[in-house]
Amino acid sequence: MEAEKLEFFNPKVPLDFQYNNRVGIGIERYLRGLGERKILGSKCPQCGKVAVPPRTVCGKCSATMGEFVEVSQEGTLENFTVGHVQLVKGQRLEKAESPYVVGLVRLDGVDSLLLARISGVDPSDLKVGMRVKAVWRDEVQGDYADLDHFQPA
Amino acid sequence: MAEKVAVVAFKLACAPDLHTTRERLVFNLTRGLFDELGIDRHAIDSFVMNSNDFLDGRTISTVFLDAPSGAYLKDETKVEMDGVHAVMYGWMRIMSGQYETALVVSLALTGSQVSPYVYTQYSLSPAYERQVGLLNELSGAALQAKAYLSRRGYSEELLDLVAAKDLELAAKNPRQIRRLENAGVERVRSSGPTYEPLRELHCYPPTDAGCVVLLASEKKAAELTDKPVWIKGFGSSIDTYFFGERDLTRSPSAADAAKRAFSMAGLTDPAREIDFAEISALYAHEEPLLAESMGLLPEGEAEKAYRAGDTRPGGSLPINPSGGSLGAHAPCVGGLMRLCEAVLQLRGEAGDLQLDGARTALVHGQDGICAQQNGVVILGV
Amino acid sequence: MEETRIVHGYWELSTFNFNIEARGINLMLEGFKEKKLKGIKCHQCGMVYLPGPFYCRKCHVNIDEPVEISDHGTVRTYTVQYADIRGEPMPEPRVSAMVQFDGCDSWVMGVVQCDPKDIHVGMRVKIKWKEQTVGNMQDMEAFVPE
Repeated sequence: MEAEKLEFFNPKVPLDFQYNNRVGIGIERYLRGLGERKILGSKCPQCGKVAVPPRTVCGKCSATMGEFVEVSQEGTLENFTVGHVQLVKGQRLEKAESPYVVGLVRLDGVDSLLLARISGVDPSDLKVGMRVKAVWRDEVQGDYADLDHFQPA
Repeated sequence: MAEKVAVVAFKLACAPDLHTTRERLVFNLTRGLFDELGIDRHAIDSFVMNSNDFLDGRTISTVFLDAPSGAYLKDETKVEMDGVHAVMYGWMRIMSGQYETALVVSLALTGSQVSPYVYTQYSLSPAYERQVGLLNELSGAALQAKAYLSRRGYSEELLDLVAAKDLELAAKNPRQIRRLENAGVERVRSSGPTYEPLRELHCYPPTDAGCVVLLASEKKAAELTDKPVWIKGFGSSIDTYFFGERDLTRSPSAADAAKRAFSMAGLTDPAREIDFAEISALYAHEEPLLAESMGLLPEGEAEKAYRAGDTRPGGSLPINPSGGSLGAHAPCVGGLMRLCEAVLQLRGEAGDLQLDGARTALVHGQDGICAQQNGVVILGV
Repeated sequence: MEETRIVHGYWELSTFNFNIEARGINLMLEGFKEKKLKGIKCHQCGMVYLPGPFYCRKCHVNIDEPVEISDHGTVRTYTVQYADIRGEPMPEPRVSAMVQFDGCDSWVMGVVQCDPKDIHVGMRVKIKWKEQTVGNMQDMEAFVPE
């Protein structure tokens, strides 16, 4: 495309929309559980699969999951990556202050994997298959940040 | 019912920053295409607009793009996903027998107007993933890369081999935006880390892009071009949203989509019958992963194939002879970029990058984190 | 039904970098300096637009022929507003109308300074310009009955 002598202007549109999203019963119970230093999942009445965080529909068999179960706080590190960047506001890629680890943990007895931060270990010592356990924030409030990270068990 | 539908013509524009407005971009592409073919907007029976409100910064965004595209008082519809689905819509309209021509008009200014990562960021649940803040398309891709390499027993070098091959080819392709001198394994390895094992040059570059693709029935195609490229088959499929429930070591939805496309195209041995593939691999590992899942490479043999040069031009199954998405990619337009490259190959117009005897191609487009959604088109001459 | 809490999601348009067509608006604002309306005419079909786009909707061609449009016109439609967008009553009712200025095909929206009882489709109006026009949107104070 040729660069045309175009006249345009670049307005800043001062509109930031805020959406009010209800979290739904699954996440609500999960967060309340976190406030008690418990990890809750949902169990499928049909196939028995356990999902964390809880869902209301089973991913495998589409049955309605109404049963909440407390699950183990220990599990296996199935996968992880070391992050050197941060996505700020979902837009800008910036260098992270220091490398951090994002892992996928299979809690004992749970079929789905939980995405969580892994700390308390040098990234070079991490191994897929190692046992990890949940570490809570000092003061829990029934919020997403209560489950702070997982560390080697 | 129409029997055959062809891709008749296309026009593509991409740059890190196109320095244009969305209206001018679509006007220039459509007007330019019409002038080249000696037609006008009245030759188009249906406009299939293809852009994403969220990236456009406006809702019902094509209300502003219809008139500059020539769709004023014309049949018009919209697809907010990868462009291969817009091609599918256009193709279905013509197959119905009610339309002779369809024009796909696609754009995304994800180089200059807004970051492309916003697309997947806002696909995340506001009630969970967005609040926890660990999952984005890069961290997801990195986790998939690790799971895939580990499961297949491949070394991380495979990522460098894929990226180096793609970037070397992209350097020779005037339609790409990442055209590096000395594109090679060393160059790739020297780029900055994002989420291990992915480095910057293993990932697609943010791109401003626009594309129009004209589809026509067999009868109309004969009037418009002497090199029609036929759509032989199409398939699409979608995996689960829940990241913790996905098998990251493969792409079941790409496999499913490809299977449907092959079946429709009458292909029984795709690895042999497909001459080359243009796959939307936004991250280096996605190229072998998707190729394996779609049956183009035997599962477990990808690293061997790449080392042997099987996926290079001249190899047994060239993949992304254009350089692929690591050279340029934008949401919506991405799959169409791959389609346009495939069309050029099949027409014998790929210049320095021309393959010999290319007659049947697989074109692939994706949406969502770790290619949750996949669309496959089989093209042939 | 058990209550579940609310969390926030955002769409931050302020972070977008928009390029907006300005040629037609700039031409119009230039015209304001001379207390004139300047639009663009399509050389093919004769359609006159205000503010002028860079292409004609009907003909799908580039257009750039500036044309002067009268600042007198006819009310094609109107509405009388008694409350604002939040439903709060306004101190005075506000009459807004779409006016087709003589020589122009597109309609222009604006506030009409007149008694709400008098506004009607077909009413002739003209632009009340500011004393000193400088080339911005405030130059056009309002529409007033001819």
